[in-house]
Amino acid sequence: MISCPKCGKDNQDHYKFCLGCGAELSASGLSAPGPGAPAPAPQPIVPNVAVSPTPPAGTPAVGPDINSMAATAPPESSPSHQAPPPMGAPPGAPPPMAPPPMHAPPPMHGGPHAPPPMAPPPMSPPPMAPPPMEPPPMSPPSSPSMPAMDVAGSSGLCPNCGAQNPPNFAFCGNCGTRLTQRQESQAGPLPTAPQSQQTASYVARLSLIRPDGSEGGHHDVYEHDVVLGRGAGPMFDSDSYLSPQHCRMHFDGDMITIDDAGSLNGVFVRIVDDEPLGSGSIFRIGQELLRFDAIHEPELLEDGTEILGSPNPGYWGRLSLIVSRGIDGSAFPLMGDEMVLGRERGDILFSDDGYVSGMHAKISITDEGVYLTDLGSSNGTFICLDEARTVPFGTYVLMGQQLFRIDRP
Amino acid sequence: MQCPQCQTENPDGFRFCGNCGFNLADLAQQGPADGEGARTLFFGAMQAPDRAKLILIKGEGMDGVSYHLNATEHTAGRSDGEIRFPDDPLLSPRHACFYYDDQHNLVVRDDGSVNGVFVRIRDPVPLVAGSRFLVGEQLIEFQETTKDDQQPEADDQGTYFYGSPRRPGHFKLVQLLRGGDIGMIFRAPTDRVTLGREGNDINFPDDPFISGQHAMVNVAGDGYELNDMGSKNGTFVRLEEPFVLGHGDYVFLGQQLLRVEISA
Repeated sequence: MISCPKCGKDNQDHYKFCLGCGAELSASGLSAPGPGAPAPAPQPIVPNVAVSPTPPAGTPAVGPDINSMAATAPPESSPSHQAPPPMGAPPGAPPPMAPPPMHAPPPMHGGPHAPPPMAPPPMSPPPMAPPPMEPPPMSPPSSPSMPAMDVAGSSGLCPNCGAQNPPNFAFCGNCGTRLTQRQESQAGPLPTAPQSQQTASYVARLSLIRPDGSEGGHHDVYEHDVVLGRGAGPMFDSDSYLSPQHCRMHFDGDMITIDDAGSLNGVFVRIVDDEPLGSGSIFRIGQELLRFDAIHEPELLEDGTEILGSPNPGYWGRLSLIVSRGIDGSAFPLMGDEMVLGRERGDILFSDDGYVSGMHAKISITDEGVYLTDLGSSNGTFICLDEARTVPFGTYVLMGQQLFRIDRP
Repeated sequence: MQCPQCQTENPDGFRFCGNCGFNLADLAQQGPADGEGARTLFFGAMQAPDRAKLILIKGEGMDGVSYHLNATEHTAGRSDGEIRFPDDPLLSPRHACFYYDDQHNLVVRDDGSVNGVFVRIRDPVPLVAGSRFLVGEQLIEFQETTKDDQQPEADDQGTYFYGSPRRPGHFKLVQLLRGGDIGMIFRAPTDRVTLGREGNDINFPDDPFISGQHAMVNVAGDGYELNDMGSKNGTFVRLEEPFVLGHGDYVFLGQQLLRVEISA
């Protein structure tokens, strides 16, 4: 348990943010914007924003732009500071569980606490208290002597753990270390080029929204077609919830087409209108990942037998909390014309999730179908894309732990 | 014997049609044989008269037909066997078997039915993952949650799955709807969960057959157990293996509730 320094609520070890007040639960506070900085109640939707706004001093930056790479540094810098490292401390302060260094520059002070050269496999428990759930960020730096960009090249030999990988692998199958040079650094303008570069030429700017609602860094897009993911730029590099190829965007004038590029966790966009839900649709409010399933009329089996069960009192659907891959937590039946989701009022309550508004969203059923509607929540309601979608500038996108807005150049 | 009213074929010895309730005994009396004729048609009765019988419960505690189990094996089902309920869609064609074992105990066995055989619990019974039980009209499946608490695993690209925050949960109770769909999943926040009509952790206010406080599932040692809280209609657990029946046991087959009577 971590007691929230702000409101005193006990949170589970792996939580990154207090479920009561939304304050960041950091072991050391190093990666937090500042003590008490996070605004109280309404927090931005992404409690798990990985990018630490405050790069620790002395973080060596290999790239020109590595503001957020600093996020990989704090973990090692303060382990002894505070009791057990908060499990789910923001990715900024992870237990070294998935140790592979990406291409991140090793922090200077990382040495003493750095994971052994033979990085433990992702599953092996971290030296400290193992987080029951929240994965640590990808890249606790390994050894300071490991040049970040000194990667395997075409040999397939992992520079981090020594595992032999097939030559065309982009990431080490053993420890997850990136094996190839980042494409951006080889071809084309750096999407993450510092502002000093020709700012006029980018086609869109992805503005990061921090957990406290303020704007963080940004990621400029220079090409009309981009694939974003872990490794696409500092904003995304330390987020272990991002797949390497996570989201595809196509920019054409005012039209932006977003699609999932085969990611593990999906691409979510903030809904503005009534959003039609099909059976299997997934969405997020606050920290809750929910799936809607339709409930059908029972049918007889081939031999004429009907499957025994409770009489259906009028359920037309079910909302399931997804807690892990293929595993549902609670599931709430849906009945009547509409069901309201909220923290304090409504039919389905998430009273311990500080990122859910009092009344947050509703699911309603009409003759046309089932719809999800945001009820003016502070942090928004995000639908997981199941196919490419065209959105306007100003759209908020949530992927991995990153919440950002797509802005015009 | 065929019912003259609805044409349903009834086992010999039925005094009332199992389908429509027509008084077959009267009919038998009018026949060539006397009123006792029906009973003699049970061949087994000659060897072991009234070893055990099943009484069909017809609502509000009224007893209906009784089935004398005087042979060695008696199959029950929708279309097969000696004990037939052709209008009960919840029964498989061949559903269960009542038989006597080597010690002359009456045993009930699920004969590979879809919906299973449920027996009313007398004492707390252990639950394992997948155990199912009935409280009132509700069919509940017990599930463990240990898997949820394992550490996350990255996929082959080193990406972790994002899930909702995990609330503490000792076990899960899943409401299964007719047709097999899931209705609700309740995660037990503490080590015991009560079920009933009102004032419990899980309430089914619209279920006319559930008692105010009906049943409880709780952690017991290293495992879990199901308790009846003195409910009116009882708590029934689905059999995983053949079960020795005692006098006064209740068995649910599909929609049919049967009481066991065993003569001393």
